Amino acid sequence: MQPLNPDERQALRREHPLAAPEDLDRYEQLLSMRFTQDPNRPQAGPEAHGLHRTIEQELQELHRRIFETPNDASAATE
Amino acid sequence: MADVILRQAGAAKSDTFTICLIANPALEAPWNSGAFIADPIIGNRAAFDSAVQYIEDCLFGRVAGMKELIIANPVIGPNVRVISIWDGAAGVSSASALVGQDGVSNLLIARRNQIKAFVAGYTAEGASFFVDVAYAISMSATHTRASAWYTSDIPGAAGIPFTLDGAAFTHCFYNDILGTIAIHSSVSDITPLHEFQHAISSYTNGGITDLYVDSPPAFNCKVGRPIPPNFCVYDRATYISDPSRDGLGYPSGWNSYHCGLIDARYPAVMDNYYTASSHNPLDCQNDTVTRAFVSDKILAKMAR
Repeated sequence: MQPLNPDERQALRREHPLAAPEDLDRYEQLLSMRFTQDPNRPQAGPEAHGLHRTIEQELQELHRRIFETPNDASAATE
Repeated sequence: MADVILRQAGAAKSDTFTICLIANPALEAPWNSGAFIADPIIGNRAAFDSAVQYIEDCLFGRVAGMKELIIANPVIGPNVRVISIWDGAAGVSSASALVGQDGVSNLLIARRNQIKAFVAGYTAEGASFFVDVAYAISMSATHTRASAWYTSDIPGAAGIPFTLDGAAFTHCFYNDILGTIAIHSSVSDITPLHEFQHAISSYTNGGITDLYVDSPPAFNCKVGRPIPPNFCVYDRATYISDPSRDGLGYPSGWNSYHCGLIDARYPAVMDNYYTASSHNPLDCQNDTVTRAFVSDKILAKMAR
């Protein structure tokens, strides 16, 4: 997976100032981890199948938290 | 009418090691939705040709100033077959959607089963061809970030055996599913090489992972603290660890660590090459064991 350019990360932080840096780190980690699982062999074991489902669920939660929360800090205090 | 171009013939033998560059006819938007739209790349042949040229130049070390010349190695480079496919009549369907637009990021994601079936339908200069790694090139208006799936080997298939820390593996001659990459037509820097190294690696015989996040164990990544002096023993050769991750350092919460670099002044190709102190990703080279491993995998496939 193509790494995130530091300029892009800064822009992302500017656009979503309420996004926690640790959330962004975890989000990037999960996006990358997705490709370490063979998508054609989720039947490799219940553990692998469960891991795939967990990654996608957590990604959706993080995506909501980072990108769909109010991006204006003042809005959060209203 | 499809335009299949044999850009480089490679070694004169059967099943030459082959890289295929494809104009992506359709996008699944979003990925895994079952909804398909036309990919703008089909309306822009010049953008496709330009991307193909850049990817080829990057892989073969022809980009001015590029330091990692792994495929430019004279025993590898001239023996690689390169084929491009442009099919303006492929239409918009699940079968022609070789790339998906991720619903939770701006990643382009290769649809590997569709790519496998798609390339099997073409011939180059009258002959069918076996593909090892394919790039699906998109001009998505919204998604620009590249990604790759590793190769899926055939369990128990023939190849060149190797050992890693005493465990036995194989650089397989053939694949079940080729290594696949989804990449944007605006591609630059060393992204084509970074993604190629993921794609040529294997889910069961050594995966090459990203080093810019705290990754789980892989061929090029280990986990544990303190970082030991030696990273691994690959085919009886000992490789040292990188105690400091070049100048970037390992963040305090990380457990992963990497192999020693060829040039410790700059991040590894599989790390965040945008953070090179020179601000030039082209300065980045591999760590020592990744260089050896990727070279060996290509050479094994060339030996089939």
